[in-house]
Amino acid sequence: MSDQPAARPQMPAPFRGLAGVAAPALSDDAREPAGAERSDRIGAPGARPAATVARRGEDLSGAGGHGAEGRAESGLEAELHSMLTRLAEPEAERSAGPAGRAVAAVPPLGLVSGVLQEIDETVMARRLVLTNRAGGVLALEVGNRRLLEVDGRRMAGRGEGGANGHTSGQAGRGSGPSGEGPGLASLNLTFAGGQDLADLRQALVRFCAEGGVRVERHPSASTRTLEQTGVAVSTLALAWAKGTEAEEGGEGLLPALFDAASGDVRAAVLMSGEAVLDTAGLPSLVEALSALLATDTPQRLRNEAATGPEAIALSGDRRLLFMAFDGADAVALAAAPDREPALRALWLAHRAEHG
Amino acid sequence: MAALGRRCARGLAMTIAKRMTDLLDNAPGCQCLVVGDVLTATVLRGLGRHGQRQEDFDAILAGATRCLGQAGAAALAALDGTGSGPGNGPGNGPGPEPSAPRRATLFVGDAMHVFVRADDPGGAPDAGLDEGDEGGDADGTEVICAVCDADTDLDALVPTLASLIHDEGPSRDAAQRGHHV
Repeated sequence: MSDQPAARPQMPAPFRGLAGVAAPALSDDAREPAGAERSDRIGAPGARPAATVARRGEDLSGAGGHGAEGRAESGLEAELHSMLTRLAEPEAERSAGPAGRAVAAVPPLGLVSGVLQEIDETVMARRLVLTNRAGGVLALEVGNRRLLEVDGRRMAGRGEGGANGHTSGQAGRGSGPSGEGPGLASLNLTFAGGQDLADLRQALVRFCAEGGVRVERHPSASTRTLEQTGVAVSTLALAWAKGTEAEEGGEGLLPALFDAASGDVRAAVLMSGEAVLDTAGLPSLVEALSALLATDTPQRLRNEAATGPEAIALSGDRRLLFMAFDGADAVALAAAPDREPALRALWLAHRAEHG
Repeated sequence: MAALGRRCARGLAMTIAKRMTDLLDNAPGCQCLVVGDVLTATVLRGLGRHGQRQEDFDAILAGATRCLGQAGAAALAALDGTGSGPGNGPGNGPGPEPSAPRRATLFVGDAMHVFVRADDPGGAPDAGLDEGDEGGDADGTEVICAVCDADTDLDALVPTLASLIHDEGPSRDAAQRGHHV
């Protein structure tokens, strides 16, 4: 089964498009004996050879020493090889390892993509137990390439694969100290909404940010019902794509607007929720803008029926106040009244650019 | 409100209605026009290209009331460090505060809502209607609202909007002679 990778011109569609994170690691695992300490944490003493680590970096970033075509080919081949090796691998080998496999030596957001790939490669009902360097444990109930449940609450020790027996359906933020979950209590994904998926992503990012993430596979102990369908990987990827883009490149609509406008106004404040992310300009005006955004005045000004990003420009005799809102993000700019056309043009340009 | 009411009584409202029609016909990208009073949240006249209903006009004027009323005044006053006490704003008192916005622009989706005070000195030259009983919006609560495409040239549109009430032009003379245009 694993001796004909070149016979297929392309990966099957469901396996394309996701970041190829763990592919080399999987093939490495397959060569190791069952039950062995198969993969040390990347960067820790006794880590796998540097060449292997470097190869992982190439797969994820596409910045290897090959040409673009060569990278694409080798990436596809690695993915295909990984998949075929995994399919041919005895189940006992994959579930018995006490230390599991390191997902990847990449930043947290890439690790989240790695988790997505792990889910995408899991057809049979399994419990994926993720551990991080801080000792945090997160269990994912996965099957049919769908994420069914997440449990960051009951897993007390590394490698534990006990039954969960919970379907609370509530995403809760806990303290998430080491040895406990990543701040996500329990979540049944079958009935999850967009906010639940966003919360889950944040919890995963925090979890992966500790580093040294490993994954172990255990037989599922969940008493799953037929109506428990979970959420597909493609849905997760779509729901998480926007946040990933914003966090990786700061390319969200309002951060981009802030960057473009802050040098041309008297003061500018960028907020997300109640947190001030960035400021520029005169301190007194920055303070006034921050205080203004913290009041309910912006909410009173906004159109209740508006669902997407919106902006408001108020022109007084001496001041121009320009405010923009996009979800929990807000930007407030103070400028001279004659700057209104420029700010309007900036808003329209960024609005068009960010769809 | 009082100024426009006086003009309505003299038959000048027909003039304003015709100007609104002309503006809607000739301003590219302009979809809807509303003249209203932010103090009483009353639509005095609404006109749209696509059969907008009264509730649509009410919703547009509600945006003007938010932006040019007390909330907008409070927002601008925060920049001036003057604060904004209740009871003095256009939506809650006899006249605009010193910090009250003269005009506002609201960007929602692909549309742009433009709100201009009828007495906005930057919108159009005063045609002398603020003198005595001849007109003008002495209480500062009349607004003209326009819903346009987001890329509409506001520099050209805003003075035209303000002129809906201020610049009576030849029609005013006709009205004074007792003719409704």
